[in-house]
Amino acid sequence: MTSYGRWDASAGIIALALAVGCDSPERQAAEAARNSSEVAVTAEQKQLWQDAADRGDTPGLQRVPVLEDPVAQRARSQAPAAPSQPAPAPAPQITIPEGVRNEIRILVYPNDPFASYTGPARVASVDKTGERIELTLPGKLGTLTLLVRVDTKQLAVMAGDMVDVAYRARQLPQVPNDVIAIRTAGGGGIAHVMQGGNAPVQNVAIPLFNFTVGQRDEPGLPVQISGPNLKPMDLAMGQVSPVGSGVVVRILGSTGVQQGTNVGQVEGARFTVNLMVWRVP
Amino acid sequence: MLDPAEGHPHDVVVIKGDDLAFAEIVWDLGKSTQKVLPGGFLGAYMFSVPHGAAAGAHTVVVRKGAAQSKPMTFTVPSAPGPINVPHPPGPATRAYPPPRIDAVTIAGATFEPNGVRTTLYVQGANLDVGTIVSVKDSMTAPLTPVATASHRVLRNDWFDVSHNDMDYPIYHYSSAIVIPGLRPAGQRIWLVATNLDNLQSEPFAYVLPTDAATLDSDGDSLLDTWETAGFDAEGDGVVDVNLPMLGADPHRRDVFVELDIMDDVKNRPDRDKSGNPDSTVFNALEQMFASAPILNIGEAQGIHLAIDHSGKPCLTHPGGKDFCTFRTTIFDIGGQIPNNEPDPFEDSEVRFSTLKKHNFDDKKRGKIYHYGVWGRYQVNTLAGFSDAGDDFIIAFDEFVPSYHTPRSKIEVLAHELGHNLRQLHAGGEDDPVYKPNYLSVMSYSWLFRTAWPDAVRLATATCLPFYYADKDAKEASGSVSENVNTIVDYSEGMGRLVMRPTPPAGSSICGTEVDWNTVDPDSVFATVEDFANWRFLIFDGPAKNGNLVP
Repeated sequence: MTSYGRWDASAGIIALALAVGCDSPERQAAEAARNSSEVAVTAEQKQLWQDAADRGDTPGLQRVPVLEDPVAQRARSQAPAAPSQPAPAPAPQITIPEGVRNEIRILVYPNDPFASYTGPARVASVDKTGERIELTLPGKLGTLTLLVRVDTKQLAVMAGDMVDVAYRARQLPQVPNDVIAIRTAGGGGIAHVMQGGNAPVQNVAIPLFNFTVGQRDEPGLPVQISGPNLKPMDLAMGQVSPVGSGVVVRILGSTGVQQGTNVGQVEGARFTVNLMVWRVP
Repeated sequence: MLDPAEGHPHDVVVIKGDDLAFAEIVWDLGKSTQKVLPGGFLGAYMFSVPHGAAAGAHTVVVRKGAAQSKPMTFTVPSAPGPINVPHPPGPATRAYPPPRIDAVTIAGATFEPNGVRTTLYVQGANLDVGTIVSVKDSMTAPLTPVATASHRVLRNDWFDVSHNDMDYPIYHYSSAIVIPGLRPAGQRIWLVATNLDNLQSEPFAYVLPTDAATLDSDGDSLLDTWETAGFDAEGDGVVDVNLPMLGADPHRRDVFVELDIMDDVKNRPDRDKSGNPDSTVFNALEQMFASAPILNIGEAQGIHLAIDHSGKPCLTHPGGKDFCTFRTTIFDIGGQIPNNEPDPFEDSEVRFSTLKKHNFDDKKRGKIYHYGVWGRYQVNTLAGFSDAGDDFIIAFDEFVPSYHTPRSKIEVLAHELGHNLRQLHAGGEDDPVYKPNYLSVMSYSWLFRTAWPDAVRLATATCLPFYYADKDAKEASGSVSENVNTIVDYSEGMGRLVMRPTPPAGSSICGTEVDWNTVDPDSVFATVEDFANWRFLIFDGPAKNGNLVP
């Protein structure tokens, strides 16, 4: 016969084992059951505990601690204070890893991050890598700082230049509706567009590049590209293809989950399109 | 002395004093209503105020043989108390809620040729001190009372929320030692708790253990042998995961998580806004689980959560250099399989399964640990994804700055881990996701709430004192409440049922108007209800899915 159990004795806890001497665990458990019989309030419970003691029905009972203070308050307390520690070394500035072909990433957001903007912006500065571009937006919109690489190259801009930008952030975390795009007067640029919904996503405008995309409701959810100067085509998730006028599209994601399918827990929109568009001047 | 010295029927009272072991508690000494009350395990340490106790003063003494304590006075207030509150549209007054069994674990077991003897640890909500547990062999079999002794009590906190906003108010949780006797190993039994007022819980199904080798006393899917001697993945006599050293306890549920954080994440969970190391997020999450309304036999209560966030998900470039950051992670499950395999280094896009294969020791840790990646984007650009087993990803680094607070990071981690523990967005199902009365971080009404625009908060009702864990919480005109802390919680299942109003206005929860267009825009549901997450956590993700990716 085997019994299992382990815990530490501590202040406020009386290990019953101390009270019942050095008998075998089985005898100690039986003794605890007999004691329970003695303190039971009803005749029925007295008998049940006595029977349990006699039959050896209480394995491990000898190790259940007797609690002198058995009542506690549920404390949904804050995390123990975890003061920040000084960083051992300055965190490296975020850059685009070498080898990555395309990227557009926001480092500093406009003053009201939930307000969208599409229009001109002035280049305030470009760092020495040529990939960190600080833009001044009109009025009180503030600054938008981007990391940009287009087909392995820096975007050809310098401080003082005017560029077109498009910026939009989702209002709800579960419904993608995001755009970040930049394009120079020379036509070079890059856009990252994300859109979601509870049905196949349709008519998503790609700002600054003047075309639209939509999910076809068929296996694989191919993304249809259409626009005035582009040849219509369907691209699957993961595909990259020129679509005309020097524009290249990469379908980062085209996802969809049908109701009732067991594919884990999707957070929000059941259908999403996620694509990157670029043009080298 | 009595603590408290005033209260209502079924309230739990602590007796503080000396020499209480093996003593008995006498209520209404010298009156016709005199009776002996059940106390704690092997002593007069606590009692539940008797059901039906009249308003006024009651004399209580502790008696041990011929010795008797000085009389103590306990007062039942005459004013309507928490169990006697008007509650339209139901009955004019509410009775004390019936007990609810939440969990059964094992304090000890012996296996014999003809069956198993167990000492069970039964716990739940609103179990009186002195509740009696009965057992039956099938749903239709008669109930048989078994030896029962109350052990531990955890008083609850409602942040001053009114009873009117609760359908199942939980005054306290408590546990009892229960002796079902010799029974066939592996037998399914049903347990029912009967309170002092004879109200019974719903039957709780429990399967007795089959043998010592597979015994899992606390039901966390980590075998007792692993938790006491360590996990030997290959059976070669070498301990691969030293669970005792990691704090595992066969009588307290344990959850182990490996979380790999990418380089170049702008808003890391292990750093503050200045980039300095900061463990607030992980401490808070571990604290959330430690303060779960779950009672254990030993000293440590709640659930033991251990997060190993020391690693990062890297791949080695053919040139030899490690890359540990990728723009997009494909959580390759269901429809999220790319037609063209991305080049992780050129496209900055990688499969989750690839990261797991190269960074998680599946052979040694697969049956023990949940595996998560904290990255930038996932392919569907949503904040997270769980395989409802043992894998998850968190990827909201590119969301606007209001999301990047410790609270939001704790919420999303609790949410995705909650999915791994089989919790859903709407309780027992996945819709509707914006229930106002599902008092849980699993609900979209709670997840990232402090990060939203004001207008979204304004349109998304919930019981604010519970969300903020602050009795004074308010969202004036949709703004974030003044005191935002790091207390995040799953639901206990107390919330009031909310009915679809006709016309769609006039419904409220905790004083906040419910916009049904947010809750249920297609008017599919006539009612929405709360769901008790804590009692339904399922821990077998790593054990069942340990060799699958994701």
